Amino acid sequence: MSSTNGRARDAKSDLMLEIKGLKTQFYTEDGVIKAVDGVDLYVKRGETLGIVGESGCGKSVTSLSVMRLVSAPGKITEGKIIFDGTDLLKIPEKEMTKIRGNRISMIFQQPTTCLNPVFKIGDQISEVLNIHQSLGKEAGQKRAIELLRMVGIPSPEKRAQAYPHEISGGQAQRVMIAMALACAPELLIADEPTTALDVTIQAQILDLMRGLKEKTGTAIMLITHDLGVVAEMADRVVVMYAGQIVEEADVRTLFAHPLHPYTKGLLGSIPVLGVVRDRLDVIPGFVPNLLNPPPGCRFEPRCEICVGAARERCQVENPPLREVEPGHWARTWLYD
Amino acid sequence: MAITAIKPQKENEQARKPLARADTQFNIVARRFRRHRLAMVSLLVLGVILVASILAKQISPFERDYLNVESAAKFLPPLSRSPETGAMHWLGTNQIGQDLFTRLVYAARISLTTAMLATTLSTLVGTILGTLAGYFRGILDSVIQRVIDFFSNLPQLPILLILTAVLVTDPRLIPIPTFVIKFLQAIMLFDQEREARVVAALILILTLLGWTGVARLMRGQVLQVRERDFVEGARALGANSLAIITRHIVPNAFPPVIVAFTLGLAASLTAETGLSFLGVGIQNPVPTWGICWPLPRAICSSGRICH
Amino acid sequence: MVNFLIRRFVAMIVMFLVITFVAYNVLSLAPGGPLQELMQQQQNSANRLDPFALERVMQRYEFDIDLIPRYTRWLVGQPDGPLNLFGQEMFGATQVGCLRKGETIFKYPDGRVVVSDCEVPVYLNDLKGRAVSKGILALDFGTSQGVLRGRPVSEVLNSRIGLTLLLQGISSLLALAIAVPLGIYTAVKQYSKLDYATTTVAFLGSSLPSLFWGLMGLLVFAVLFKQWGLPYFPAGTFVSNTPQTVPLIGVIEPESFADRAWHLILPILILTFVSLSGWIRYIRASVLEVLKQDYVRTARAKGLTERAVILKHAVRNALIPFITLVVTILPGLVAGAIITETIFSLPGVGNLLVAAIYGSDYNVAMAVLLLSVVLTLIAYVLADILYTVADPRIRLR
Repeated sequence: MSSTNGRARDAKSDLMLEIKGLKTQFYTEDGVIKAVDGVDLYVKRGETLGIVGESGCGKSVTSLSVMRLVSAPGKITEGKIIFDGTDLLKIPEKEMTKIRGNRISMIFQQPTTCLNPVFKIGDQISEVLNIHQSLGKEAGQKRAIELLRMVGIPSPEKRAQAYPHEISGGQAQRVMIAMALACAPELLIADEPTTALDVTIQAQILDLMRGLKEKTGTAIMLITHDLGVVAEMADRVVVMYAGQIVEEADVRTLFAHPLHPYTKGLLGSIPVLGVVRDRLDVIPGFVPNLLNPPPGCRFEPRCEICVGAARERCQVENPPLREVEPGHWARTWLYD
Repeated sequence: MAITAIKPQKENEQARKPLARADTQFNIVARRFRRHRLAMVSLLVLGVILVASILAKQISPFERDYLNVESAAKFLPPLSRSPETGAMHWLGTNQIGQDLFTRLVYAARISLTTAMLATTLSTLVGTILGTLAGYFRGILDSVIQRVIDFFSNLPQLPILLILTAVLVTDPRLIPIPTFVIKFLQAIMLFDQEREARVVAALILILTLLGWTGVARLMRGQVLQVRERDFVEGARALGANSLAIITRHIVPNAFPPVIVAFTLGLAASLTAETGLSFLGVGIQNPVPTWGICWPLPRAICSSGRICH
Repeated sequence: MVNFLIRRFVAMIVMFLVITFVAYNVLSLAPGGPLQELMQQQQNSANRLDPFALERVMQRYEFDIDLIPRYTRWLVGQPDGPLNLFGQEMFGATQVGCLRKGETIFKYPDGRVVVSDCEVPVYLNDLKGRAVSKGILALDFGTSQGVLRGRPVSEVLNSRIGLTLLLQGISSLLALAIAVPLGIYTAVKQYSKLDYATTTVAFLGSSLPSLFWGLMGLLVFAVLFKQWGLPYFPAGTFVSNTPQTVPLIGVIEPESFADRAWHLILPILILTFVSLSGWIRYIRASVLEVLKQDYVRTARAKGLTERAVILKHAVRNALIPFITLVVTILPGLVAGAIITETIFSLPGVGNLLVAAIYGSDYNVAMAVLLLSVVLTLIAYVLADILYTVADPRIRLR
């Protein structure tokens, strides 16, 4: 826990969100799955934080935990989620509904299935305005059209009357963004916002998000498995593996000089333009079963770097997240 | 990524270990099922019924059609002795002195077999027609679709009632091969050929009205499966339609049909017992679950639901 | 939409004609009918019947007329004699049936010799003056041939349909009123005590047929309760003949409102229970499925209260497939309670159909069948229309 304080100390004043020792577990028939197992992170005002990791590493669950939208059999068991000074895990549900969609918004991976098929797009957007700003039907509709125009939807008056199945995936994600930004939130959580989209549409959506961020100053928590997206969007990066953070640094440092073997593996598995290689490196093995994770370092069974005596330590003792270099944190015994 | 250590073989095995331990499909299903209390109870009940119906002849204390209309033998309560033979009436007797336990056990055999055969036949017909419609499309599909529409727009029970009333009372209206009759006689322990004919006619009627659900399901499935890559692959390798259908399409399209089969079983059973209860299906003295009810004197004296 | 309705209407008419034609002719195949009965009587009884009695019965049931003209007479009341064009009678000598079979040789004056297998043929001319209905297309169902011989079928139906409408109407509404909220509630509060209780009861209710529950209800609430001196329900029929004393409730006067209610409560409860069980399971499963959808998560992320998420975003989507089940209430209004009506000896339409089949009353049986066919067809068109209203993704073409 002390590590968080240390990491956040220099930025305490302008912290938007601070997660401390978060644990979220799923109680399934086969046992307890520790999807998020002691995560500490923070987001500064106006900053874009990238959270990277393979599917199943707990990054989506972390973001849903912030929204308190983890549904049964999942449960947040420990930790604090401090948003602008208040612990979101301590306030009643009623207070939480006033924050969701208003001060913290979220957009998801599959934009087409995230829109309710039986309601018109305009109505779905104006619903947010109705809840949080008590905007009437007409005013809400007018504002919804403005928002649609803002996110670059052509002929927004017409589109507002359309149903979700009548628009494309890229347009649906624009609608989701319009909905998320309707109440000018202080924090936008984007969970794999471009994964389900075509590559050209991906670039458009990322451009849109960056442009809107510059205009509104919203902080973004960007969750993705795509390192390219992180490089393009994020100021700071957190790498997650098996429910824990394994590395944290600003985006330049991380890409130039990764410390954790997992991060190294991730960076090795992407092709780099202009560099000729026989084959891309692959991280061997699979993400460990979170029902009973390895006792030592979670990455140890797949680690190809750690050798010798150090490895024995890896097998029995999970390393803490430590500041290996100034501002650069990693969970590894490698640099002892 | 210059640092490439020698692959630590041992560790890698360890890493896979939890996965190797991972359950087989069968284990997972078996465990889920055991944990499902309702399913376990249902299985137990079904097991008892099945065993009883298989051993119908052996465990029943009376002949199937035994009756005794003397008033001392009628409406006996459970666990009373027969005034004639002294044998035990485990569940008592009905309005004509028949042993209810014997009737119940035989009825289980007859009702279950009827439902089973009717559902199997309709599943078979439905699967074949559905597969043909889905695979060959075109005119064949349109025709089969129209027929399905026709049958599924019928009000089931009234139609069943009229059809059975007409066809079952005179089973000669449907010609049925002798070996089928012999088979039914053997499996349902019928002495008389007429009894088997009635059951055969009923099975055919239930099939006629029961196949459309499976056909529609199968057609939809086949339409999906035929677009899959392995079908394309088989076609590219020069497999003919028959081979593609039997080897690739049917096995992949079939699983939902199994579920439909179990539901169909219940529907057939309900239909048969209902019709027999209404007096138009299988009739006394052949017992089925529609007509083996232990109705007390108070009911039998008023209504006409006592058979 | 209009296009769709026209096409559906045409399809409905074709379906209607095919079903009625098949059913009408299947029914006339029915053995054990009035003819066989009569022939058996003739063979058995000492005092032989009038040899023309058989032919009179044949004429009454129109068995002497060929399939197709017989069907069209039932359908539209034609042909009812020779064709009348501009005051000129035509085709009067066309044979349309046969009253008595047997090989006959006709020698015509012009020298033709015709061998026929019909001894007494029926010609169009013979149909003149025969009683014929206006045809069911003019809503004339003909006359009853068995249940209430000689009375118009519509009268017989009228006397029965009220009770069935009451039974099915009340039980369907009751089942809807309970199943929808309870189905939604048990899905939202999955694994709660109420959920477990409801799921178990609904499982039992839907895995055993109305036959079982009807007879069980009769045995327990009518027979055993009476024996035990508890307030009981009557064991059938619609009204009492004498005042009935029910423990803890008092004396029920025959044919009073209380008497009718007392007779109907048990069958209504049983009908309600059986449809309720299936519906609850369906709605619960449907809501559970919808609650997993991404758009429900979106609704929560918007800041809607859980109540609004469920009532506004989940329920509407979950109830769309339920339309298919709800519309089956419509055909059920006529012949949906055959078994329950039989168990409780209630004189409803279902009971009428069974009686008509037993009594070879083809006109009555056909009328009941016809009503349920028409209502079934209407129900499916209604389902399609409701679907387009409820789900913008579906367009009728």
